[in-house]
Amino acid sequence: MRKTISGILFVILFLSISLPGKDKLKYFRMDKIVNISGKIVKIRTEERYLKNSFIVFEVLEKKTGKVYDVEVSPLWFYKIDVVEGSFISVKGALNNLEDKDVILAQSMTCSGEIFNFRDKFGFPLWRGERHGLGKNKWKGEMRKKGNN
Amino acid sequence: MRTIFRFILIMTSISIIYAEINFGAGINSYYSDNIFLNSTAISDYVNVFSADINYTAKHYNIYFDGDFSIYAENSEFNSYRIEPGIELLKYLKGRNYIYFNLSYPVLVYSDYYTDFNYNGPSAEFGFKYYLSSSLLFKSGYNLEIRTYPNFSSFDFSNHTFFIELNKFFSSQTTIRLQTGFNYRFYRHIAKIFPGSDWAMDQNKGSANSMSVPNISGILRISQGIGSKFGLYAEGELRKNFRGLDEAETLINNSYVIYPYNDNYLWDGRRITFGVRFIPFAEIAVSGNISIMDKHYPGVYVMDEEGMVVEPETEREDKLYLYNVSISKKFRKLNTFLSFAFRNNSSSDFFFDYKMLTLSAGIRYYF
Repeated sequence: MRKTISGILFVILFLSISLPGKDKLKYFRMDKIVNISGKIVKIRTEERYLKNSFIVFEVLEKKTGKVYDVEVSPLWFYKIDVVEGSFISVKGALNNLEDKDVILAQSMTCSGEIFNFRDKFGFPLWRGERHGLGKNKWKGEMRKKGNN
Repeated sequence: MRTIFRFILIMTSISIIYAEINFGAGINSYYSDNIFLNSTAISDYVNVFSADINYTAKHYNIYFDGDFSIYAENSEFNSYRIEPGIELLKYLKGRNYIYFNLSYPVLVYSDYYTDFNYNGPSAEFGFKYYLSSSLLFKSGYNLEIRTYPNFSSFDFSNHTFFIELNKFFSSQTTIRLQTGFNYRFYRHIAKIFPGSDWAMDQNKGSANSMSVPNISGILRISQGIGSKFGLYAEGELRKNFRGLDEAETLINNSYVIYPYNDNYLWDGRRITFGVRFIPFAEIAVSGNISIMDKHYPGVYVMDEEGMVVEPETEREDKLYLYNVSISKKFRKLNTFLSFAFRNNSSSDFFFDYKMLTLSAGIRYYF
């Protein structure tokens, strides 16, 4: 019995490693943390990880002139009004996939505001931290109009 | 202590097992040397305990928010507020979305101020749409229907509507234009004062209904300097089409607790200058100064006895408002410190006041 279970587990493990995945896996490696500053040249939404729509910035780094893909967060977690042309600083973990440099964003600053996407260990804040979809933003905006 | 520990353990376990369920809890403490914003200058130390529970699926969130306000010196002002609600967020193409929220807030004072207890439904609709890569359109509508069970003359419904355009430039400049329309409708205001309530007087048929419509326009220019520094200036104009004439019952009863500081009752202009920056270690610092010229249509200057001073003149205020705030986010903990100072000069001596508030708060997400 134990042998059968071990055999099944081995087959599953083998298949999970050898079968080609739709997405290449990206890891948040603490030893690959980088800081870049530059302009957002393009903002895309892309399907990643279990068909979730993700926000991806293409950032032209000021120092090197290199363009990085910055994977920000799932669409529903993203509530920032930045646009193409905005100047940002990003801290995140660098991945190199098929000669494309991808940064998994940990935090970002823009015009003096801080936006956090992952904790200091790289754990995504959108996992287990859905404290509402917009109540703080929209309700807060409406309440501001009512009090001074 | 053991109870708190158990509570934290249970909340954390539930959050881990059921990822769709989240809890948050926090405390905001503040000291104000003038909690009522008037010349009585009553100071107090206030603790606000808050908690929320959310069940969130892909497109909707069901929530229950609640808070307790506890006053150290003026316990008759203690209150709690609860708000169950549901919100829906539907992404359209790209980053555009529509948002809808329906909730039912309830506010209850513990003792002396129960006239101000209220409840009633509130609905919100929001729409965000990128007209181009550098032009953002936003619009929102809010309907709020409030019922005051202990003093029905206060009952009202509010309609708030706004549209906003944001134009982003490559120089890191953003220009925002916003216009809004507010409409407050008092359903039945008793004619007789003091101690008069429409519910008590309705057999005499002595009630007014009254609407207070106003429009506003806001222009905001903000400038980013690098990624860690931002400046903004904002100007606002408001115009009320009608004042609070013939609402003596409201004005007298709300004299202390409700000093007409909401945007439905004043018109005039406001100018704000603000700055935001991140000096180090992801600590966010922000500060702003606002100068407001406020005119209260239909609210007349009164003497110490609460009688209208002859000849009748409407209340005029000039308010200087200063705010500084420092905040830092840790993994599941948000913290902030803030300082606020208000200096209000008014043609009505009762509203000639200064106020200093120091606040600190922490919020933890399980």
